[in-house]
Amino acid sequence: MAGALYGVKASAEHPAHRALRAKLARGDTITLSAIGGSITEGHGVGLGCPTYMRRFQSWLQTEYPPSDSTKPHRYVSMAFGAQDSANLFGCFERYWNQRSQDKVRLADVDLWVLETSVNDVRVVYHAICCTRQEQPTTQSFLSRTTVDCL
Amino acid sequence: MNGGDRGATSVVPLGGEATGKLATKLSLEVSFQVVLADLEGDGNAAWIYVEALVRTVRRANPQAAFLGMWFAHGLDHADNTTSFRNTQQQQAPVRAAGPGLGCVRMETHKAKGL
Repeated sequence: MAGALYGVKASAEHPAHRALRAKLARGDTITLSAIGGSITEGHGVGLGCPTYMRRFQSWLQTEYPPSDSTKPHRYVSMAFGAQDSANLFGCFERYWNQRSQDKVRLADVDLWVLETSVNDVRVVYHAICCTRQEQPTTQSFLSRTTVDCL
Repeated sequence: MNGGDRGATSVVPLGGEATGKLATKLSLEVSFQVVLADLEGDGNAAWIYVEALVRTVRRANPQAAFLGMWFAHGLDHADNTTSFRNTQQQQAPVRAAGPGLGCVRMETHKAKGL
């Protein structure tokens, strides 16, 4: 099952993914985190129903059970409703401290999932309206970042 | 992926049981060798923040793997299920994750009869 998560091995597979797959194959416990908005937070999935990340975590637990059954795969949610990528970037440290509660170190996360599919419509609007057709650069954008952390 | 080379894929079923009115049937299609060069252009600037976010995380956690989540049809607030949204906007995390790092393409379907 080692290859199932990532399908057929691809020649361009990134070393980080190879390392992750090796950990799963060895029976190591891994830590997941998902950075995202309300969709990732689970808005609308229904009371008591798992979010897609919780489903993913359960699937990993079934398919790649850790050899130490007392240490299941962990998930730290970095999903916050109504937060676009600018906010998630600007508030990252605060959010991480809030959610990890010093129980998980940032360096311990093996797999980050990114989802900004809904809330970034504001960022796109900003790009169109505020750059006056200039091709935005990373620096020009980041210098305009104003964020309101939750 | 708008012309990108999707590379090898596999479909991983995740759940599928209708456990509530708004339950969704989920499957993950995992792609590799994603070519992201065609994602640049007006109206697709969100990747800049996402990329900065990835860079921030990578500084503290250089060994970690990243997957950009790209919803095949978008997700809707109302019921966490399908509706069409701006695909370039959705692809920003995929691009930020980096070429060769892959993406997760998630398809959601309303359970039959709901």
